[in-house]
Amino acid sequence: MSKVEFKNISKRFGSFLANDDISFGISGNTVHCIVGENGAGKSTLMNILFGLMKPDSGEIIIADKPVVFSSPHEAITAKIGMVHQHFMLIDDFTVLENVILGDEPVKGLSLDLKAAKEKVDALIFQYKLDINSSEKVTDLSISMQQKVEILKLLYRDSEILIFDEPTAVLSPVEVSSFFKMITSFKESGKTVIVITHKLNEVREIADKVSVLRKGRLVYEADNVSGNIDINELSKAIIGGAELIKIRPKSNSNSMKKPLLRLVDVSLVRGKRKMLDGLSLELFNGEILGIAGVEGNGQSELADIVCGIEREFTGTVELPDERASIVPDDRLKKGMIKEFSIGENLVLKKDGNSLHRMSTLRKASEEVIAEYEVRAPGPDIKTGSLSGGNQQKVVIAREIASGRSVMIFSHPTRGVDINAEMFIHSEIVKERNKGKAILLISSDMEELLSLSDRLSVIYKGKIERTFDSNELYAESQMPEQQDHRKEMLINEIGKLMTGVSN
Amino acid sequence: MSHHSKANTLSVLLSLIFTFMILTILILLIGKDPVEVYSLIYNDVFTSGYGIGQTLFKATPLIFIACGLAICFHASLFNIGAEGQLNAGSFVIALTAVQIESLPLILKLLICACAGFAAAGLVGLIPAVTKVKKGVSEVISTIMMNFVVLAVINYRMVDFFAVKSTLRTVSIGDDSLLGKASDLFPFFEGSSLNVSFIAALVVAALVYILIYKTTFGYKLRAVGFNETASRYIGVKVNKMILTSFFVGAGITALVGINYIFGYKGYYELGFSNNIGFTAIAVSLLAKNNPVGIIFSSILFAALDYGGLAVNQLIPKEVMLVVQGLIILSILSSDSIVQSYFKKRGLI
Ligand SMILES: Nc1ncnc2c1ncn2[C@@H]1O[C@H](COP(=O)(O)OP(=O)(O)OP(=O)(O)O)[C@@H](O)[C@H]1O
Ligand SMILES: [Mg+2]
Repeated sequence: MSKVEFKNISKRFGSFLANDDISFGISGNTVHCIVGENGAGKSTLMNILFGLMKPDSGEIIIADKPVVFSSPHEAITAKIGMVHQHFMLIDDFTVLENVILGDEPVKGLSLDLKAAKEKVDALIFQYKLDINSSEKVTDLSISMQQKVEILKLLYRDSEILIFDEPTAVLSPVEVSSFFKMITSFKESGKTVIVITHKLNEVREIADKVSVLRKGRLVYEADNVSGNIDINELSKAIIGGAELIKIRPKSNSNSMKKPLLRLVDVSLVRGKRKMLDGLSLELFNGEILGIAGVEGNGQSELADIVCGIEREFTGTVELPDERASIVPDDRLKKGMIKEFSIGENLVLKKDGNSLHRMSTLRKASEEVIAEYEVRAPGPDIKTGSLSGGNQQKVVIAREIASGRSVMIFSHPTRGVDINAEMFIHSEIVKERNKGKAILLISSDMEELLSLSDRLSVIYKGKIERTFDSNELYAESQMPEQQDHRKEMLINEIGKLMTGVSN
Repeated sequence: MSHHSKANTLSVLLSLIFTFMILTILILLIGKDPVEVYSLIYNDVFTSGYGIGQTLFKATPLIFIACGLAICFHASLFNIGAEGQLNAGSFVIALTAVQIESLPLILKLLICACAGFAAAGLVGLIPAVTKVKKGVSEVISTIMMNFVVLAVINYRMVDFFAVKSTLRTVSIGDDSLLGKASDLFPFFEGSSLNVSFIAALVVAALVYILIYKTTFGYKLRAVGFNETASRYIGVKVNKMILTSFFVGAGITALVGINYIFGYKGYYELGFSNNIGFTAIAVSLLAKNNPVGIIFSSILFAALDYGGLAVNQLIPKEVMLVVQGLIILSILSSDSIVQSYFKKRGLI
């Protein structure tokens, strides 16, 4: 018997079919993964289950009873909870206040904060969440904020927990503790649905996986103790399409000149010293990777180089007025979601000129074609694109702006394998054109496969920079290379966490 | 029509219907016959040339000011300072006109409009600078600027410019006055409607193009939607704040052309009668769209003039209540309609 059953769910946006007659069941007491390309319709399906959208046809059956939710509130009452990719927390409230918001226990006419705190603290203890319920959300890291979102669900006794790309924002250590949490939910009888792009995560946690492509259910497989065939799975995800292979490294030893130079740059935000005498040089035609645990000054470094943060000390030398940036948070920083693709491109223009609908539409169409953006039409607001497609739009726009120094901050977060390959090859293309690229990422594979040099940042300082012959040795055998890579990752991991000194 | 404009039109219609219902109830409560009141308004405002003329005349300054404000509002800059800005602008227009009395009218208009624009723009620039430099909320600083500007004008007036024992400047001369509509169309006989109304329509069209069709307009709205993202994309946000305040405030000065060149021939203290605040509502009702502003200005002007017409039956302040109700109901019907459309995935 299925805990949740989708029956012939279809959903259109205009003429675009985002969910196309999807039917499958999710058994109770399991972890069920949903995978698929960007724009495959995963979030849409979950939004329907959570009552955020109504399907055009089809029905949802929960514990053998057909249900119709017209709002998330009704879904929550039916013990369904969802953690969105973009958290919905009130920064100035404490953890406790955020958790009880909308479902406050009352005694007489006043809030019964004491009872609420007891319940929340008991949950924190039961699931080993390791979080302080009286801390303010502003002071929490991303992974802690995610725990607050999870607490919200637990507090409402949700039995079906939906996570939309939960690991996209987590570091490797945080991912494994997140998985432990997921397992303990399953053990306590809950049903967990996880949307993800990372197939090794599927292998690690899923009991079953469903693959969506272009709005349809195309593949399903069980995963018993990690025996799932990853190759089959990735084939199902991308359909007939070939994966784009990563290109070889550039080895042009032509005249290199530094395009970006930071000397002894420090920055204090609030009371915290975010950058502490950081120096680095970035040459034309190279990709400099920045590895580090999030919150060690990466975003401040990016803000300074792209000219948003000016309250620093030290010197920054740049060829242009500013570097262009693909920021870490595309919704908040990367685009105007009320604008179409073409309209977003207008913002890069200097001077003042008239813009006609038809030319804007043409600009949108060009980006859609060149970057393989999955969009129902050229006029769609960028806010309605799926996450990975939004990222492609941001990248297209920044590349088109033609600055010689570019920052890519977590460029493939929440992006499917195909788009990831595509984005990687775009970054490399720009490098080969002679641009200087600063690549900030917490994805070690990404850093190692793209960086010509790699710096490790820790507490606002560059701990160490690996140059290209430390990163790559040409003439080694494959197994030697694997060994070498493992050593390298080990070493970098130590530098990132400050263990090495 | 896109779903967005459908949603907008629907919410405006809903709020007008709602307001109309409340107004009817109010009239009943006062003990008057709604049919009688409405037919009086209809006859006075819409059937006589004089009524239509006066309504359009009263709409003219609203169009100017609301278009100026719309520029600021699109950038999410809540400019409450139109009252001060338009007074500074009009005052300077009156003073300039006297200085260049001998020039041909068209040149005089042009110079006066530019001078007034600059004066009002500078008044608007002050809160913009404090916002950009020190993060002072423009809501507070623009309100305060209203008091400052009016106090300064008061003081200069009494000491230097006022005609003895009045609160107005010297006249700019009869031959400087703009042509009245009734000169061409006797239909408007007696009303003060003049060429400035056409100018207001032209300004509305230009502001529409500026906001929705130009690079500047896209950047302006980008800042209004998401300031942080605008910065990352590379829009010079501070420059946008300064220019939109300057241009938006500058446009409000054009009411001085209507009043001084088109109507009285001089600047008079208190002439604006808080129209700078009414225009905020006018702009909001039109969703800050200059074309919509033309209609909402005419609606507010009709209410204003209609209030006078029915004053014998019901207190004309009832029309102020109506203006307030329109704003309140548009805000609420907006969120209702928006969520209705969102749920169906239409916007
Ligand atoms: N409100 C909307 N209006 C119009 N189109 C929409 C809307 N929401 C989603 N879409 C479209 O439906 C398709 C599926 O979107 P969805 O967000 O479900 O994809 P996804 O599988 O979650 O992708 P990703 O992995 O990138 O998050 C996309 O092409 C998107 O552009
Ligand atoms: Mg999604």
